[in-house]
Amino acid sequence: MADNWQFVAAAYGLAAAVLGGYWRRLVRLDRKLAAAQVRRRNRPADKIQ
Amino acid sequence: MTRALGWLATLGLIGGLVMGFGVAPREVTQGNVQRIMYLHVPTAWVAYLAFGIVFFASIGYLWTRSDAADRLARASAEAGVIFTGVTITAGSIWGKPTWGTWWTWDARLTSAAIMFVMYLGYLLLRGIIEEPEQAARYSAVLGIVAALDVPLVHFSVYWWRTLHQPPTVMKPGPVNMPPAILAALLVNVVAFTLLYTYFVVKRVNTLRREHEVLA
Amino acid sequence: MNRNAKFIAGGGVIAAALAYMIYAGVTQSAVYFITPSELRAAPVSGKAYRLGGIVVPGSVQWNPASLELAFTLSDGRGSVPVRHRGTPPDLFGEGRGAVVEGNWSREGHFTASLIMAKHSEDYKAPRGTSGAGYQDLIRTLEKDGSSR
Repeated sequence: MADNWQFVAAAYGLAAAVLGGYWRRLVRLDRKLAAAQVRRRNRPADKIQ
Repeated sequence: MTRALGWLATLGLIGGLVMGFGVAPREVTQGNVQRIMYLHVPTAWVAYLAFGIVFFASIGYLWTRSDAADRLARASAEAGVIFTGVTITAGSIWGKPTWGTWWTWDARLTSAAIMFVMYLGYLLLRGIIEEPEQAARYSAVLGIVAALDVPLVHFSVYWWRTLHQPPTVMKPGPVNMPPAILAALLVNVVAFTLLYTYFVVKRVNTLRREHEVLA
Repeated sequence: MNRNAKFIAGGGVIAAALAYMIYAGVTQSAVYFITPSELRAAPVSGKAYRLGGIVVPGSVQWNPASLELAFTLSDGRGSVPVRHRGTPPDLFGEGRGAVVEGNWSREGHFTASLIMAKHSEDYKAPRGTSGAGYQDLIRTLEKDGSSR
């Protein structure tokens, strides 16, 4: 029985790429929103100056 | 809190890899390619779970019109599509050397592909409709209707003749699987469920803040 | 370019994919394969079939040089000789389930263009000594036949 390790590696590699890609998308969105929230909070202060 | 969940999922996945590649023995009939099962089966289970959550959250939304239920449905559908994609890809990669084909139109594979495309359509529908309340209402209806396919996917191997084998664990009766293989499978099921929970919590969180920033 | 056109294109692709898969499901999945006794009951030469059964122990003849493979598929009630040119999948073997695609030839055998191995839901660790699950697979196949 051949072991087909290259198939095992392909399956796990693709899964890691897809799941890791989604995770990175969430992290980036999170950072973008944090930046937007900071900007919103600072806006009234800008006006006072 | 979310961060702790993330680390817990990471720990679980490391444990799952150790169990799947270190502890579980090489399966006799299939050889090492059987280790793809530790990825394929847990991600399939998570896909069922994710679309089940979409179903209940959609009912909850139509019932209460709560934005939180709508956000949960959307987050869970996204994760569900991701995990369905992984389970189909991994299954296909396993199928080539073991079955002798990447794909065949048997009832299990067909219903799973329909499930994937339907929820892709669900996410697209959410993107098309610009009015948020309307988007939530329409997608809640689709989230309920699409869930009809989920039991079809699971029971297809009993209801029709298929190339895909019936389940070993998620069925009544004894489990014909060595304890180490079963343990590795269960650890991975827990790990991928944690990862799914982490994805959903984080996504719901960003959806809520998106709403606040836009308000 | 614009948002709406993109979504309409996406929706079209998804609708087309769904339509194709439901078509494939209705035409192919409902009776994914027929069994040897069903083929024996009404064989039409030249017609494309998908045939599923147990590879009869002792029937496999494999010539690695010419890639010629011959074996018999059985469902316990009837059997069909199958011929194929090519390497069978890893899980293919005597006493195991197989599904083949091809057609019934005038000469009285099934000419397969694709050999697929049907896996059982049982897993074995090394030293967990039990033979090829012939009885199990017969059982699986009988269950398949009764659940039509």
